[in-house]
Amino acid sequence: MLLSKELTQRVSSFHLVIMLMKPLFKPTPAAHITCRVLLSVIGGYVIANLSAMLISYLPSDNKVDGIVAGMMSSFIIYTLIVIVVFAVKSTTRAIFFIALLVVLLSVLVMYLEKAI
Amino acid sequence: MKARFRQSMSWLHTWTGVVFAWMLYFIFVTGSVGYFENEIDRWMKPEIMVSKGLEDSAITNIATRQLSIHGDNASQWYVSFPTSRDPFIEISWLEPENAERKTAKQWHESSLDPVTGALIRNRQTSGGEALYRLHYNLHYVPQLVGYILTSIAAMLMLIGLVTGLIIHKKIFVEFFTFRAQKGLRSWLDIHNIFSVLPLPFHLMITYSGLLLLMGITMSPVIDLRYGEGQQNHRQFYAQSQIEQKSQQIIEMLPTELSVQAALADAKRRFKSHKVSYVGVVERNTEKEHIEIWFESKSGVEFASLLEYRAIEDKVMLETSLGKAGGAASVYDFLEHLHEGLFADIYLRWIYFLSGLFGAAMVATGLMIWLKKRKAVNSTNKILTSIIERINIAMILGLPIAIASYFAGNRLLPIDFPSRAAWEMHILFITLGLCILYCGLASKKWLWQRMLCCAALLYGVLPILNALTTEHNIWLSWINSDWLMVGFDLTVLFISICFVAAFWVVHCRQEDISVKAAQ
Repeated sequence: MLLSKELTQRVSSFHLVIMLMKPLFKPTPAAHITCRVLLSVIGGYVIANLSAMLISYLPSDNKVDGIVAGMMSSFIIYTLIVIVVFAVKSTTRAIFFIALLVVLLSVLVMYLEKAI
Repeated sequence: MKARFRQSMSWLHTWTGVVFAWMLYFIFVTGSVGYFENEIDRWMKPEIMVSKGLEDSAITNIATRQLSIHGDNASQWYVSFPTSRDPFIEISWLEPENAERKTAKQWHESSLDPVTGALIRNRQTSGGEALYRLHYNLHYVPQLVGYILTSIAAMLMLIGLVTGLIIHKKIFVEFFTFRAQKGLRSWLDIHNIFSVLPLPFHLMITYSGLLLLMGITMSPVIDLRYGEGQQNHRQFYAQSQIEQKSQQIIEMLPTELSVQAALADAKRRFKSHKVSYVGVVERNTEKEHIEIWFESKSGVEFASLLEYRAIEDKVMLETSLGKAGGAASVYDFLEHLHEGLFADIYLRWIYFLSGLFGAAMVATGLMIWLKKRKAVNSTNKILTSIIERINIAMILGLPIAIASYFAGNRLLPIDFPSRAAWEMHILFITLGLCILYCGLASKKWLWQRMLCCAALLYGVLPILNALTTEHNIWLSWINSDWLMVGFDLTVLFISICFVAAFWVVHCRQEDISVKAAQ
């Protein structure tokens, strides 16, 4: 009943997903923390690598230098990602944030790999 | 995460610091000791002799004579000249693989007697090098695992440093505050002092440490751009090592080209630079050339290599100008900062102390965590107690283990089988014994007993040195063997520091027990 009532109001699809997920499981604080740790460790590593790959394409004339620059920045990016994952208010938002970045960066890297 | 940003960051700061704290402490201590690699090496090889007043050309003569006797078929020769950090004549050569005797290609190195010119047979030892390598290979684990574990520890350290910066509102005010005898508050103040004062060093050393291993930890990037597998990776490394060079033809006949001639020519060109070593590379091939390396003290940048090669009827001189590309230059700069090879003795001490401050930062952080845990959590007393005991064992056991590594060098019989490896085993056995002892002994006097043990061991080292070799402090002073004197005095000083620490802990404990009695 509650769901249909909310649906009649104009809710964005983003809220809808969260609404649908809520009744399925009620995570304990421990689960929240585990989720964020995994997100930051694995998600952070994937994003660090993807952004390093992206940066490695930036200088068009010096492939090695691009790779070095990419790898060097990856650690800073990793640090920032971990901080953001633990700073945002809700775990769901952290999941969306990581997922969005992974998809966006993957598409960009794939495009560049094909193009160059 | 938590209600407020700073609270979340505080949580993150605590846990990134605690999870790998003991390994970070281990890395900081062994890495700091590594800044005195050469000095430790000298102490662990008491047989080698200090060279004084010999001309470089005379040294080259002695050295090349020995090299042609022992390494005539070697593909590479190196002669290193006495410097203030290494006042010895050392030669090394790369013996090619021998199909008949089934030996792989292998580096040999030896120091020379400056008077007779003969090879010196020094005791087998792991030396300063193995001690300094501990901070990234962790010794017993496979190399790759060691690299990855230390990288994870460094990554956590970096996050810990950044979050630590975030949670401190008034960082520089807090740096100048110290509230003694206030329990947890005092510990926090000490933690801040150790962290904030050398903060630039901590950030630099952690970040550049990550960079040194980035080829392994961030290998997917190389996989993507160069392809997977060792072969492709090697291609990347080869290309990243290429240096820009300037080439010029010099007035020398190819028949005149020898190590002596190249050395004399290099000295004419760069009068203010000191040559640290010379090499003959790719000997007996068409690509044979002579390398002249200058001492790396002239600055952070030390692309100071000259190469002489004969091309047809001319001699070509190549001067290296560093790497092409902005990022590669920044990488080189940070790598040199991390290794600190350019540092003179004063800067080296600052490096060493900053590293120890890092270790102290980790140790005090752990102490705060334990104190808070004890204050809040009363359910998991056994676990807290175990962590507390291992904590003491790590914080004081590691210096004790390093002292026993030095003592092992003096006490193991000279012809002991695989002596060098056993020196290292002694280090880890001692560390294990410390953990065992701290696990079993009564907790009341644990800090005092461990401090006592550390003070005793470090105090004994110069005596051991005097008893088992002819190097006592007085004689070393007369012979101006400054590295030997320096080592002996430094360990004595460390011993005094442990005595002082013992005194402080002991007095505090008495205070507490007096208060408790009242």
